[in-house]
Amino acid sequence: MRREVPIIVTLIAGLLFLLDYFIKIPLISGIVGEFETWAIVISAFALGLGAANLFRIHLQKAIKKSEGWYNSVLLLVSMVVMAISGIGWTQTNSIYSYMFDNIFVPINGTMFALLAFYLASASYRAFRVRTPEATVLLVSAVIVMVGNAPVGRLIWEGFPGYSSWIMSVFNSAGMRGIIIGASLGAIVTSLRIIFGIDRSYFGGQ
Amino acid sequence: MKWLKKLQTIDSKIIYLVLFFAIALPLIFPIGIPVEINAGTRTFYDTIDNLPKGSVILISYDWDAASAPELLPQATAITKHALTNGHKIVALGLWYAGPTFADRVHNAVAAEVEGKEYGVDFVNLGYRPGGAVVLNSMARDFHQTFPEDVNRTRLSEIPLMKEVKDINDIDLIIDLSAGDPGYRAYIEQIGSQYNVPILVGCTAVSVSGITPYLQSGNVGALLGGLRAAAEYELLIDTPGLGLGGMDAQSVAHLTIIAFIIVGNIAYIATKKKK
Repeated sequence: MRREVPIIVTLIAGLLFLLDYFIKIPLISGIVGEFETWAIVISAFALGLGAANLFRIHLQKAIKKSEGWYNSVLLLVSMVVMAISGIGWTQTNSIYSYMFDNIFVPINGTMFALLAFYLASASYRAFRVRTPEATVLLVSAVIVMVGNAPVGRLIWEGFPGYSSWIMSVFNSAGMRGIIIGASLGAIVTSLRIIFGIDRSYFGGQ
Repeated sequence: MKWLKKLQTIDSKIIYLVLFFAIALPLIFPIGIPVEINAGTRTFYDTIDNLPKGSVILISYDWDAASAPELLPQATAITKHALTNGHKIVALGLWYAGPTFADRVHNAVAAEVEGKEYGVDFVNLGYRPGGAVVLNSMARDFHQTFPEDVNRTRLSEIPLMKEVKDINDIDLIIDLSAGDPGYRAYIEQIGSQYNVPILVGCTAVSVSGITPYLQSGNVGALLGGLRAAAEYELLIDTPGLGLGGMDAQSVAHLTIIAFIIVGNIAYIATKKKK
């Protein structure tokens, strides 16, 4: 029963969702709507579970005074203050807003901004005319980079046009292939899960 | 030649330092490089412009602080354009930080556009976990999926939400997306099932992934990165963060290209010598 019940629930839910996607039948739409409400509640619980797990791990680190325990304490304090202020008094209260604007935004922004520096260094090292393929990649990258910046048009009128041509023809063809391939894979995996062939979602039994 | 080899292996710290100045100096001393308006940005602008007055636009804030430099100027310009044209905005977030940014944008724009009131002209529904499932559920019933807005006010008590029950009451969807869940969830769950046009604003790195959807018509128009934000600011005649960052972007791109060219010249010269 531990194996059969999840498979039956998955089969019924999967088929109902599939049917509702293509044909709108009020009764089925109503049932699927209920399932969706459950899914949102489960997602919220999953978030809560993740937070609880993070709390447990860092609390242990802080109690045991493991290496870098003060970082764990900082994380726990930030987590508790953000959670209480955000959940308790809505996201627009002054404590949450202060922490969001002055701690979260600068830290999160810096993480992504650092990528630009790594990217500059990596492109300087990687873009070398070692092979004909690498040369094509290098020329395309330079055209797209210059074409996308306003200065491109000032250097040569043709840059924006060629940049857009590379993006809409070559890039698009490649991306379309990737999207179709990934989608076919997702369809096959979904069907395998719905029909109980792939059981990895409950421990691979 | 020693110097040719050195040019091929410039220390990362030097590259970082040069790039830092390439970004910082144009921000402090703007050059004023002219920005041309792209056809895609024009289509985006025209779509909002051509909506009948009082149309309801759903703006989804699916990004966090990492993408704020590109998407916050886009959101501000779009919101200002929509409110100035008399449209109504329903904002929500599939990302946890989204609604807080929506709040920032609403506060900034409402102060500039006279007579706009929260709950009547714009509303912030907040964040719901669940990704694509939230969209499917919301399309059926906004009030069941988001019983309260971000300020904990019941949706049934918000004047704007009395008119908006399901996705058929939405005239246009704008997804400001930095990844997943984002534009793809909207295309799959709403665009393919319901007759609501979808426009996308995204970070520059996401443009390549969205282009096929744009060509197939799943996405009506696309704003890509800071440059599109700058173009939009020009169209609504409100210079902001987008236009302010254009000089820095141009100089930074040129700096990276200069490094690539220097590295390659040194590489070719060394190869010929061998």
